[in-house]
Amino acid sequence: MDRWLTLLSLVLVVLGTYFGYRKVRSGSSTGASSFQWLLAACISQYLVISIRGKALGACPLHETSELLMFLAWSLMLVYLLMGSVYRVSLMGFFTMPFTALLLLISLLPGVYTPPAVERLAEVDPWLEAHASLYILAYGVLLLSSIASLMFLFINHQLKQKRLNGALFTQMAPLSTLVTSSLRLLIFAVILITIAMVAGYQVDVEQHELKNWIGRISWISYLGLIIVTYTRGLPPIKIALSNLLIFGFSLLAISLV
Amino acid sequence: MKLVCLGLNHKSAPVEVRELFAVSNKKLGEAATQLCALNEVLEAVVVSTCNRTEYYLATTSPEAGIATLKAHLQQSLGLEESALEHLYIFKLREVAVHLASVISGLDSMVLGETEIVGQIRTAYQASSDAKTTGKATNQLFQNAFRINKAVRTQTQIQMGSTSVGNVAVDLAEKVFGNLEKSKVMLIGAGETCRIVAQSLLSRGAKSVFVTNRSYDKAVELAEKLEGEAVRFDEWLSIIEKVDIVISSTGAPYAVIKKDELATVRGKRKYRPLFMIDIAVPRDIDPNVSDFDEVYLYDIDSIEQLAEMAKEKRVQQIKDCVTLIENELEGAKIEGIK
Repeated sequence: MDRWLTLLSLVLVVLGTYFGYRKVRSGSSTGASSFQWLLAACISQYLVISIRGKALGACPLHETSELLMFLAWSLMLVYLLMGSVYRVSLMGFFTMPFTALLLLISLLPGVYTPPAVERLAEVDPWLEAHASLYILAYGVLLLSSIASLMFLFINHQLKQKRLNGALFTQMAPLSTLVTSSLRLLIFAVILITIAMVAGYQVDVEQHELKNWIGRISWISYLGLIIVTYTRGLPPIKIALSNLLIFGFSLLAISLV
Repeated sequence: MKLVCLGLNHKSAPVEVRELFAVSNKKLGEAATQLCALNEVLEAVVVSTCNRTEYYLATTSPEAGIATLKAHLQQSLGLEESALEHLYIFKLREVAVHLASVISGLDSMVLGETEIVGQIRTAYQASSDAKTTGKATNQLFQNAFRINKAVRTQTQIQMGSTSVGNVAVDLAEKVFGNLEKSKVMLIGAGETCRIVAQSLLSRGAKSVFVTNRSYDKAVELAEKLEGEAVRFDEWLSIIEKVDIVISSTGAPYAVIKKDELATVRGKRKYRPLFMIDIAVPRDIDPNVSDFDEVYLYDIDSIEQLAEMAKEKRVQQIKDCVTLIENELEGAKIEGIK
């Protein structure tokens, strides 16, 4: 059942991307329709997490496919819950292909694993909080990275004076994208900080390299935010640094 | 009841003829009332803008209505016969097609401009207030407003900016979004600077600093724009505060040099800086665009963007005409058959 529901979520975001593309091409706004497609996919994906969570008797973050499913869900959830300052024009349209990619990988043979047959005998609430907050923070970071990618596109077009095209016309202003990306980054750092505190309470042996990657990413993000708000940084450097740190922090997920 | 339209515009008549027919906004209702007092005229709406004056009439007979209106215009405006030769005439369905084209900006000097919608709305309201509209003209104008909405949403005739001022504003909005927090500095106090600055102010930009070699001219322009005049040797310190720079001096060399701008980047905390160089020879060293946060546009690139928008609008005409025809197909308008 969870597999079919994940497939349904995938189909929904793929259809959303397709219809969004058609809207962008015709010069219409994609905001409302992206929201609706993502809302439907998010609900479907919530059911997947519930099914797997009930089977496991814990937060379903124990397999790679579960991590990807949870990450896709948190990305959609963060997008849907964010206010208009964060959720800028075309962000939903750009969020859908990333969500689709995560869901697609989670369903691939060799990656997908069926829900647990037996419930876990013992559940550590600190570990649950640590893992789920971390993945939620990754959702926020991914959304912030999407805003940075959108910034890079619009910055390139403005610098090269290529100001035609439906995508350029409809995309949010450059400054809005920087602001949105930074605010999401701050929110993500807060979540990571809480997740790290929870992680220190966990009484099981942890992967040291993963922890170091997490710490370095956290310090880098914090440094980026502090430097941006104190000394200042050219917006393109903020966007590139954001993407670079996110790429590095993904190594931690691959080690889970 | 039959609809007719008589009018003249920038294509059919030179300005010296157009001004003879011009009616101020305050007198549109009165002019329509005078027309309704004529034999054969049952309803009337008078539209008058700087580029056109048009009379939309519901008459008992088109030919008789046209003849009556011409005679009235000749007499009331004291026109020579030759002035009437500039009038174009549309009858029945042509009237609805023409009004829809006019309101959609297809007949405007700047193709696709939207100001005409407000002007026609004002004219229609004035006639409505004067009680010179009726079933035919109400249906005619309501349908025209509806069709304009369809043209605006279903085609790209009104997309893009076609003037230097508007292109500059659009670009600034693409960088900063809402311009309400944006501060502007003008280097030079010429006419183009003023036009671009006024476009920015009309879209929300608040503070304007004006600097010029002749301080008196800077003060004069600053007063017009309700801004602040700055001495020419202080422009660099002002750049620290502003987001948009418009430069148009007559200097034969670059006024803003890359190394000078480099000194204020840190003080500006690398915030985006949008620079428009309207001068020839250019006032701003083109190499300043090497700075990540600087977006520099010269007059050629801005004019090129305006031209591209114009070309794009021209390509849309055919689609608009088809859309208007389709929209009128099922429209219920008294007096077009």
